[in-house]
Amino acid sequence: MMQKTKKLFFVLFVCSLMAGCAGLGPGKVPFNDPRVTVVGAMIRPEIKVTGLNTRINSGNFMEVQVTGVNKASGYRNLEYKIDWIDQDGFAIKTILSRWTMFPAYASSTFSFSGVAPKTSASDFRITIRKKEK
Amino acid sequence: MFVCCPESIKKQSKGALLVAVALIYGVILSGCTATTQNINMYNDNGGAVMALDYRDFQQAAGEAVDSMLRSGALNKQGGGRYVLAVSRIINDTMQRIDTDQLVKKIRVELLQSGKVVVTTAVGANGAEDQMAMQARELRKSDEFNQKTVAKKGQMIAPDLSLSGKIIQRNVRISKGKQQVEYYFQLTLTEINSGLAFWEGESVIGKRGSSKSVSW
Repeated sequence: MMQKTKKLFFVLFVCSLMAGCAGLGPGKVPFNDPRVTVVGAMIRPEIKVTGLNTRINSGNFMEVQVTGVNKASGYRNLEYKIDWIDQDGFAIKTILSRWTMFPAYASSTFSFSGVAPKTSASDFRITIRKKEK
Repeated sequence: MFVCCPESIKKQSKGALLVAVALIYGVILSGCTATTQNINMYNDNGGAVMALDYRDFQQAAGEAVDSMLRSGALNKQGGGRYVLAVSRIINDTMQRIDTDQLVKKIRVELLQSGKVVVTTAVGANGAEDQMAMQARELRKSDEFNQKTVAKKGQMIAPDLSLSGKIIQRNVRISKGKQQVEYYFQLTLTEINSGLAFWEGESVIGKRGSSKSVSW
């Protein structure tokens, strides 16, 4: 009896884990990187970030690329800002950190990228929001 | 006992009426006066204007720097920094623009990138800062300690030159509507070979009333 109850609990536990991943497809986990934030309750359900790539280019500047998907059935006019952070954790003041418009077409993927202003930039924070005007 | 004559009543009411009209007029006028406020440069949600404003220069400069840093054109062989001279930036718009509004932003960013240093001793219209040459005149003066005067052969000649053009094109859409296109074209030339190491263009378009002035 005890053995059966244990088995039942184990099966239920595995089922609950699998249910948590339902809808993401096989082997997919939701994107969760604290360096990228989508702000605004209106767009958060429909604008999903799916990937973040970084590299160091030939000039030793860090480059970052964000990819995502607009799940809405309409075009969304969005903007992003990349704040660059140096090795000591200080924000770097630069004109490259400005709100920049990018298009997110209906039910399509989108991407944008940025380059660090200094070779000392080692981290970043990206904010995505709906363009206000 | 106070007795009021009809003449004085008339005069008084006329005066009161004038004061009331003046007050109402003053209130209306003060209501029409736009209050002055500082622009939040970090999150400016103010409407676009047909002419070029600081946001347009920021965008054009930002795009140029972004492209330069990605291109690898600023990677000097063997390391070190390139010396950049600012050449002519032609204002081919209908507006009176100080092209430094664009160029200064680019210079500051390139300097801070650690890849470029700008010379102010050489420029398309002569030295930007004439003091570098004028201070050398002190070589003739006995009043100055000659050890502190700039030596001969110390100035560094530029490796790169930044030139460009800002173009404006007005397109009439309908009777009351127009489109204004601005093109920011920049070229980075390697002086030794005369080859353009980098070129970039940013386009900013605005659409609005024909009555809006874009010059």
